[in-house]
Amino acid sequence: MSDAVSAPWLMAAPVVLPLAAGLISVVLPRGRAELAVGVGALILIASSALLQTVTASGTQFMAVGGWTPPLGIGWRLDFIAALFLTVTALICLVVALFARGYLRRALPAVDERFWPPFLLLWAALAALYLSADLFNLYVALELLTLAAVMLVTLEGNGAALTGAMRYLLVALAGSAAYLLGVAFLYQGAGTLDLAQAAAGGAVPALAVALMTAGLMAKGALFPLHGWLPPAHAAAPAPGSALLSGLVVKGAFYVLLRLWFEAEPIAGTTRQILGLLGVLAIGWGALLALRQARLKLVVAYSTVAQLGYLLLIFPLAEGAWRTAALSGGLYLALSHSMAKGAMFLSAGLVLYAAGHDRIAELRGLASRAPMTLFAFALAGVTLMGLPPSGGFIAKWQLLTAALGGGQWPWAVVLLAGSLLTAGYTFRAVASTFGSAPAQRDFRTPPRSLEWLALGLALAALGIGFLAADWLPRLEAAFR
Amino acid sequence: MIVSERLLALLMLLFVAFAVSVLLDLPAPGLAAAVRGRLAESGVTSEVTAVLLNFRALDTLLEAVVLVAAAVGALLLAPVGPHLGGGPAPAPLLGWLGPRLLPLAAVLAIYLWWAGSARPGGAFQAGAVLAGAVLLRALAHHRAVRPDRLAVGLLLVAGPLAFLTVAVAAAAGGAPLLRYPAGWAGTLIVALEGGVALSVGAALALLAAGGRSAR
Amino acid sequence: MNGAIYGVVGIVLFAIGLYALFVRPHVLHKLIAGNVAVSGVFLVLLRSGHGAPDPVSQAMVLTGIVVAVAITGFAAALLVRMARVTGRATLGRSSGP
Repeated sequence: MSDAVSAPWLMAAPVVLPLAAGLISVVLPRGRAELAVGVGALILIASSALLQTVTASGTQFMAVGGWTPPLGIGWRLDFIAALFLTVTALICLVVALFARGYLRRALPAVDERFWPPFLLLWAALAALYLSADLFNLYVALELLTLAAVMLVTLEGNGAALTGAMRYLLVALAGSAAYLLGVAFLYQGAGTLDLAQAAAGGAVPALAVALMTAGLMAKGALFPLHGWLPPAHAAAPAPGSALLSGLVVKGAFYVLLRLWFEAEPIAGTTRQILGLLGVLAIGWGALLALRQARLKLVVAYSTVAQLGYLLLIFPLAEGAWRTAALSGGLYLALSHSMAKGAMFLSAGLVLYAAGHDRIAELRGLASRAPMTLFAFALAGVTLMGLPPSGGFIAKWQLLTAALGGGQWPWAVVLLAGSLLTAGYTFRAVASTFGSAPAQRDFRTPPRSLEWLALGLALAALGIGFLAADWLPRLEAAFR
Repeated sequence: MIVSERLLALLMLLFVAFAVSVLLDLPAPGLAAAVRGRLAESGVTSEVTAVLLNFRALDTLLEAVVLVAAAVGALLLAPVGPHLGGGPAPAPLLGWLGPRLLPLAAVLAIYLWWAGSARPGGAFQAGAVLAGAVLLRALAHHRAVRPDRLAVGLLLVAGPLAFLTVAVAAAAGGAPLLRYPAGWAGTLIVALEGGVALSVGAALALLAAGGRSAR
Repeated sequence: MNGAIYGVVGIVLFAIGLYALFVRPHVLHKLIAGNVAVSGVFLVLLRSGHGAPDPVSQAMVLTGIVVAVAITGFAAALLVRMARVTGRATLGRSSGP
């Protein structure tokens, strides 16, 4: 089942390609967007090939530099990593295509500065998915944070700079906590490889607690979520799609690996995490209902949806462990695509109306129906309606909740969907009706609308693949 | 979230007590034995350099990229591009010392880079010395120095790109990423460290210059 | 006794740094506090090895220092820009930490 990887260059491609492209884009005076799209297509092909490899041959390992852990750094390609690589590649490619058209039209000053951080962010994510070494993960997380903050600063206005600074400071605190946890773990287990440390059984609980706190800060998990809405709303739309869709999931991915490979802490802590998830769902959704600006609605929605991910912890008990985990991961992937589509649509709304104040969008639906449809479709996934990936994911989680006798969580899952429906409908409904005479909307470019719609459809489509993918996800956790 | 400062201080105090008690119980064996065992194959004689540039070279590659990314980020913030110096007239000592320090610093940097294989030293230390000297010289000048954007960009990315090329070259032949070909480890390490040193120097200098707009 | 002093001081610095990062309003103070916290972590890392130096810990600390410098440098540039654009060097109110 576990194998030394047969094609190391292929396994390294999702990291090497965006890294090289990102560095090159710094010195490229023109054509950065084209470089990103071209390289992006290659990365998608490579990631899909890796998915095929893992499906056929099982988990693969690579000892980077030829040195096996604990001396060296180990990379591990299992189904989860391959799936995340592929979905990330898809989202990033769509965002790249979108940004190429959108930035040139809507934010020309931002255009050439978007691409280096975008590519470096992609490389950091890929390194994060593959790495099994806790210190290597630290450096990857730092690169991810840096690139993400750079995306927030792009528009250069006061809100962007303040939002970026707050994000950076919270991330700095999180890094310190995470690294201290790594120090404790290294001194307890004598290795930096997560699997080895877990096998040795000497992982200090405090190490995991520290790392968890750090990762929660970077992943905007309640109560360390306050930095997210201002930062994600201030970034340009394609940047926001990446930030809400992928960057916060990266931190969560590491958190999941940490907890479910290291099996560290007892039930009560998991229940506490679940409780924080409930608070996130409620708080995020209620605030989303009250926002005056569309991008802030979408950003608070992210806070709420991340709360669902925290529910995995209490639900992953005993026989329901793999169901809850696979459901949670499916939720993360569906949300990434749906939230990406939502932010892209919000960007188009901004383009069409010149602003994103919900109160003044009446009549937009008749001018940009496809944009609003993409937005609504993304909302369908977030609400968990069939046949979307969100539905499959929530179904898994509900099964785990009811099967394990933990029905209060099931109530939360269902109530959350209602709240999600609430703020989605509020946003979409505000665009119906006929526009007052003095209001003039621009028509968004059709190609960009197709891209946003495509991403929303992908989030739905992932539901159809569940029959094949869910069992594989469950197997990966056994 | 408004957290009472006293409550936070109390929590920190409790944390310190708890953490110290946990820490002192940890065995902390370290990996010195493992490193010493394979040191001969690493191509260098300094254990720390062996870890940084061979056993865990991926960390060093990513770290160089982080530094370059930070410099690029600072560059992106400044609306008119980087400029060094151009402050008020420098103190006489600085004005005299600044230009003369640069060649001395270059020699020191080269030594640090070269010595890194056997003693404490290496790319980052050399780069830091270079950056310091460049900044001192810039501060010694009354007029701002506006480096050519392309040249600076190339300097920044050359080191990490070279590192990446070596990393991939090994993998293309079927070996894992970043595996140095037999016998070449020592030479490659020194060469890569040189490239990284230049990038680090440029990045650090730019970080000190970034964020400012020409007035 | 070997290494214990590093560990204790490191944890204390971490706590002080983290506290100041949250409590102090001026962004530059927060940045410096963050650096203090991270320096504390480095000290804890250096404790490894039963008194004999551990090359992996040292490598981690060297890497960590560079990463911290990079982030601090970028943050400082961001602060200068932010102060210029908003006229303030504090973060102001928000709905969370």
